[in-house]
Amino acid sequence: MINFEQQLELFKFIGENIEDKVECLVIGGSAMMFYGAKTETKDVDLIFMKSSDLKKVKLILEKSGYEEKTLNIFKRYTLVKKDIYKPIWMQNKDTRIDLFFKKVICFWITENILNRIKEVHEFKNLIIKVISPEDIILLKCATEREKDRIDAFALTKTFNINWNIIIKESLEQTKLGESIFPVFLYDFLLELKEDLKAEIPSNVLKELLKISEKELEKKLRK
Amino acid sequence: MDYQELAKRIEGFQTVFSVVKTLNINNRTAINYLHELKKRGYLKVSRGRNKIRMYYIKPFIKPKGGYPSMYNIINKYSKVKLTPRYNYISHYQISIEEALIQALNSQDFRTILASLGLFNYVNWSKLYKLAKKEKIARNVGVLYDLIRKIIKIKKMDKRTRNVLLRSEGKKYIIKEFKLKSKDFGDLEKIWKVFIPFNKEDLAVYKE
Repeated sequence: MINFEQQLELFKFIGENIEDKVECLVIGGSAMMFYGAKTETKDVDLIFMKSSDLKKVKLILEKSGYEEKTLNIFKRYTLVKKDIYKPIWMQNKDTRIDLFFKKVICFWITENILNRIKEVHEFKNLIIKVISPEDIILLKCATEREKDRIDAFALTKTFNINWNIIIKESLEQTKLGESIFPVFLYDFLLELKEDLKAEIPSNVLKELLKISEKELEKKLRK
Repeated sequence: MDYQELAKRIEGFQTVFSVVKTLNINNRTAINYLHELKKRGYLKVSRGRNKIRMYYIKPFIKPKGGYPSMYNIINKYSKVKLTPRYNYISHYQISIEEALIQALNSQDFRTILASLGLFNYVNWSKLYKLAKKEKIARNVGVLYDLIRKIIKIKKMDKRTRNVLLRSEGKKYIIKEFKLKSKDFGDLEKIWKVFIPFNKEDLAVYKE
């Protein structure tokens, strides 16, 4: 586990040791720590929009004792040789850092996601952009982990979530990839509302249900 | 009583009953603790199943701080102010010279325009070192000459000027749009750098 102070130290270390300016996005628990919605996270997830930036950060991490490992969920990427989008998992004694290039498993970083960024942290040569709470929720909906549900609930409690953004982005992601995001999102939000009593408007769920059915029909016709 | 420590002990979702059980205290004390935590901003209340009060406790209040960013420095020293698109937080201290170089590297028309006001406060030896590293020394020189035409600015010594003239620079200040000036062709010739600003753009410094 890594707490907020340790995360800041890690970013400061990278920023001071890297020679050129490098930009990346921070997602998941790390992003939530910047928003004050979480105190510690299991791993630090960074997304790079330039592969050269990813390589530079990887090099710095390797020099400071991190080792590259293969994670089970990333195994399908190893089947395709030289997949540029293959995530890199860096591990040292007690911290894990996941490095992604342009997409997180099946979720693409779109221009709209970049435009929604509201918070930027500068650590000398490392520029960290924190993705919006709406996008964090959307990223969390595609997982099966219980912790992600609690994280998403914490976000709904802390922020006034614009549900339209989430619905639109889920449709956008469906166009870009193979996964039907509105279906994941509907299940996820329904669980949040029923089990954790999250304040999710009923009309949002109704709309999502309609969209999900339409998308499923489309998929089945294919 | 250290309430942050207490918040850490009972972090996450709690009810009065679960707090009583975890801390091994009576009902009244648990309610008092929860009240104090709420007052200090560590707690948010919601309703769970059967309308039970649920307390979401986080031992963490969003950290503020950091150092003044490029935008803060420009807004402090320059007449032209900026409203950044992001909430920009710097975690290391930057100097005025670094802010000027960052503004140039941002490749943003308005940020560069606003940063011209910093030339009155720069240490030329520091600025030259940074500009040389970024290979934009001639770009810095041409912008200095440009703002000097508009407002009263501290004079640059001849030695620095000569060094800047002999240094590296990029042909365009804003590479993406390849903008050239209608009004400052003379400066563009001397420094071999195209200026993206016209006289009207710089009028904001005279207002």
